[in-house]
This record gives sequence, structure tokens and C-alpha cells, in this order.
Amino acid sequence: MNKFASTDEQTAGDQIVAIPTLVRKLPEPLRRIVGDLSNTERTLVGLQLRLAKQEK
Amino acid sequence: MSKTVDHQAPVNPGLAKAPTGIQGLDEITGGGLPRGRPTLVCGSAGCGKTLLAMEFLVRGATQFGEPGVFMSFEETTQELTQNVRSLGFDLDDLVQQKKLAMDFVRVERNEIEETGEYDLEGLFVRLNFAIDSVGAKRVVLDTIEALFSGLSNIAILRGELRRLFRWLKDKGVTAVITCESGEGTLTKHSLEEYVSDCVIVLDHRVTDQMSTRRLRIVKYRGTSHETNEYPFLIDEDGISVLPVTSLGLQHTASAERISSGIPRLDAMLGGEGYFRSSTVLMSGTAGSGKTSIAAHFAAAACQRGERCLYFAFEESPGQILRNMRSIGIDLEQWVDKGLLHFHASRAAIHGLEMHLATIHKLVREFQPRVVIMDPVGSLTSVGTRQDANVMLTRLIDFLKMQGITALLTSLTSGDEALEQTVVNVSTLVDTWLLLRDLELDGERNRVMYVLKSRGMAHSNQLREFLLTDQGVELQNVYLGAEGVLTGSARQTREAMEKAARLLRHQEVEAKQRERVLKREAQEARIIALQKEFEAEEEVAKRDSDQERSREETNRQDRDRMGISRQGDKVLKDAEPSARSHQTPRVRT
Repeated sequence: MNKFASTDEQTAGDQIVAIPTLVRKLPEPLRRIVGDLSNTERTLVGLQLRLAKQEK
Repeated sequence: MSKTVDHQAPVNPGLAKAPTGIQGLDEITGGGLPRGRPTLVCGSAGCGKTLLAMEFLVRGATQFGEPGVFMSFEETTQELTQNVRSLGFDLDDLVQQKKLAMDFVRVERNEIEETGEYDLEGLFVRLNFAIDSVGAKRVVLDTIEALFSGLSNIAILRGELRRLFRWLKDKGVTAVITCESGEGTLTKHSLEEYVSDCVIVLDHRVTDQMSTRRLRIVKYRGTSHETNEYPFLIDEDGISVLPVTSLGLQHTASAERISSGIPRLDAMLGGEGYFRSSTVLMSGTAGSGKTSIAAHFAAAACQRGERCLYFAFEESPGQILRNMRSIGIDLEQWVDKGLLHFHASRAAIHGLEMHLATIHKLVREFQPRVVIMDPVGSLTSVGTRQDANVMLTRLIDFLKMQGITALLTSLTSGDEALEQTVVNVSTLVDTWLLLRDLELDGERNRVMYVLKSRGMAHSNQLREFLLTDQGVELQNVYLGAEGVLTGSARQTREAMEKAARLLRHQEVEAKQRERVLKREAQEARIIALQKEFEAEEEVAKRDSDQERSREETNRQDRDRMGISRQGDKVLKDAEPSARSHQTPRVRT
């Protein structure tokens, strides 16, 4: 489900601009996690596995 | 510093350019955009950036055999295709022919979570793929600043954009990058720092409720370019830029003369009429007959088989045709033959630049030899006087360059000096005809004179002109001890003069007759005297004859007496022979 874009058509089809990008297609809404995931907190928020702090 | 100058100098003459195919833009850029380099096109929303970029691609693909890539960050491919279809660009077809590749890059802030370091290699990959798929020579990025709204790491973005522009250069494609103009800066995100080869600014300004699009080349490294603002318009043929200020005073002067359509007016203008490709201004008060004279000129041009373009700003073509028919000028036949074309529009429907653009376009399409603008003064209602002046200067230059003879009419309002036109074009025109009304004895009459006409010996006389069923007729005005007389006053005066002339004529004739009689009488007297003299001579001759015969008789008598007296013998011997000869003659 999540993959690193590598081929040409895939980049266009998945609307990849930045690299690396992690795309969560399901469940909706679509999420793009841009960057090297070094910020674990933001990664989890981005994947909507954890609520963002300010939203609490 | 000196190094860069040295480096740039040799680039100058041979800087390769990619023609845009956009009317006018290639002229002001001196051939097109810098080939193999990125060009920045900036402007506010709705000023035509996307369209300019798109036309650059489409013209490149269709006219110059250079396929292109359109990478859009704002509009989807479908939207774009629909938007430009009205301009006659069929993007689907071009994509099918592999002349164009389109890619829509969607960057949505709410979809994206940034979690550390990244780069924009994805963009590079997509662009590279698109370029390679059609062998693109031209690339458009519209509007790349959308990235700034989608991604928050400015440092990374800037670094990547710098890399992107570098990469485009290395790739050797001619790129157009559009971006929004910012407050006080060319672009919102100072992209001009990276793209510095060529910067074009588009502007959409509204003055006095009239909107005008303008284009300016801020920077063009390594080439000379025009720095002025140029109006441009977007119509069904795409963009056309007016390189009007690049015109100059280089037009050649024609010595050819063309008729004004009014023989007497031609006579006033050195006998032959206007110079071809000259500009004629006709100013006058309301109802002084400007349109009628213009119509004569139009008809004369059509008669010569030349095309004539008539811009009417105050009357509809139908109205002009009807009115001119009433003075015996049939313009309709020329309209039907396609020699005369009317373009009627209110001056106020759009701005001056737009008018200029329309005129340019029509002139290019119709290729007329004669252009009539009636009246130019109404253009001032659109812009300021100064704007109108600038516009007319450009227009006159343009028409002269095309070798077109232009006739401009101008309305002089009552409170102005006659020698002043609404727009100060008087110094630009070659021939200036002034029409005015003369009020005298309760009537108003039209007079005309040639105020100036460069390069020809023109009449300095005032002429009265009449609108008759056969068109305009020029008449001499009465100039005499009582001043200038026109209309009925002139006619009365002329009638009086005619009567006086007749009287004088009759007197002269009578005198002549008298002289003839007198001479005849004199001659008769001479003859009588001669006869008298002859008679006297006759009498004198008779007397002398009688005298002689009497003397003879006397001598004979004396001789006889001498003989009878037996006188001197000598006399008797010496004379008898002579006497015998003479005697018979006397007797006869």
C-alpha cells in the first residue's frame, strides 16, 4: 500500500512531487507523508494514527 | 565583475532565440525568448500568463516544429484544454500527435504532512518523462509558486527550484515559468533571483473603468530589447502585442499624389491632391461637412480600385451610407464590391490601447491603401488627452510605415480656437484642412481652407463649399471692399456685379457702334472732298487747255497780221516748218 515512487508513470499517476513520499490511499481521505519520516510524531499524525497535539 | 562582462560579450551577437509566434512579441524581443534558457513571466491574477505560456507552446508545436510540455500546478488538463479551445487551440489533437505533453501537478496542503528532509525529485522525474515522451524543446511551468502553498519548508523549496532551473538549462529546453507578482516585487517568492535571463511582466490595469493589458520586458540578458510597456489583447486569435513604440520616423516619403475626390480641392492642393501615405487632418465645427469630404475621399480611393477602411466612432455604417447618398455619393457599391470596409464602434466601448490594437489588426487583415477615422477627437473621451495623443502618434506612425494615406477628422468645439484640435496631432499631420462656418446676414455658410500642406504649393484662399446633390462643390468666396462674402450675400454681390458688368459691356458696345458710324461719315467726307478736288482739277485742266488754244490762235492771228503787214523776213523763214507741224495738233 505504501511505496516509494520510482518509475515515471507512477510519479504522475500518484501525484508524486517530493521524494520520499509515503501515500496512504485508504482509508479516505488520501494522505501524503512527505520527507524521510525522521519526525516520528508528525509521521504518526500524518498517517492519522495519532491526533495532532494542537487538536487535543 | 570584468570577467562576467568578458564572458557575456561574445554571447551577444549570436544569442539563439526561440520564436514565440505571438504577434508582436517576437518583434520587441528581437526574435523570441532565449533559446535553451528559462524565461519568467509574472503578473497578477487574470492578466494572461497562462495563455501567453500556452500560446508559446502551441505555436512552437504547430509553427516551429518544437514539441512542448505543459506542466500545470493550478488547472487540470481538462480545464486547460477547455479554456484554450475558444482560441482555436486543440490541445487533445496536439497531445495525440505527440507534439504536446501535459501534466497536472496537484499539491494540496491538507493532504500533505511533512516529516523531515525531502527533495523534489518526483517533479524532476515527471518533467523528464514528459520531455522525453514527446522530445520536447519547450517547457512551461504554470504556476510553480503553487508549490509554496503546498509545502512549508521554504529552504528546501528554494534549493530545489534553483536546482530545477539549472536542470532545465542543462536539458537545453526553452522554458517559460509563470508566477504571481508580489507586493513591490516582481514575484511573490522572489523567483527572479533564479531565473534571470529573461523576465516579462504582464499587467492588467483599469483606468477610468477601462481595462488594458500591458506587457513589458523587464530584463533580457545578452540582447537589446524594447523596454516600454506594450498593450496587448487577447482575442479569438490568441495574444497580439503591439510593438507600436518601436516604430520610428523611418518611413519613406512617396511623391505620388492621389486625388481627394473633389477636383477643386485637388486644385487647392497644388493641383494634384494629397501625397500618398501622408496624413490629412480635417478639423471643423459641428456640421461643417467633415464626413462628406471624407466620403469623397473614400469614394475616390475605391474608384481607383484601392481598398479603404473607414473607422466610424459616432455614426453607424448604415447612417453614413444613407447620409452620403443624399449628397450623391454612392458608397454602398464599394461596400458590396469589398473595396470599402466600415468599422463602427463607440469610442467608449474600450480603452485606447484596445482601439489601437483593433485598428492594427484590421489594417493588417484588410490591407487598405486609405484609412479614414471619423472623428479622432472622440477617442479623448476614453483616455486623457495625453493618452490619446500618444495613441494617435503611434497610429499615424504605423499607418505611414504601411504606406497608407490617412484622413482624420476632428471636431472643434465652439469654445476653442479653430486652429486647435481636440488632440494635438496638428504637428504630426502633413496636410491640415480647416472647415469653418461663417455667419453673415442671418445665414450660416461653410468655408474651407488649407491651413498647411507639407511639400506642396497650396492655395491660401478661402473657399466656400456647398453640399449639393452631386456632392461637395467648392466656390470662390467674394473678396472685395466689403470683405469676405459667402452664401446669399455672395450670390447677391455676384448678381450685382454681373448686372454692372452687363451695363458696362453695353456702354462699350454703344461707343463702339458710334465710332464705326463716325468713321463711316469721315470716310464719306473724304470721298466727297476727293471728288470735289478731282472736279476742280478737271476745271483747271480745261482752263489751261483753253488758255493754250487761245494763245495759239493769238499767235496765228499775229502771224497772219505780220504776213499781211509784210514784216520781218527772218521770222517768216525760220518759223514756217514748226508752225506747220503744230497747227494740226492744236486744232484737234
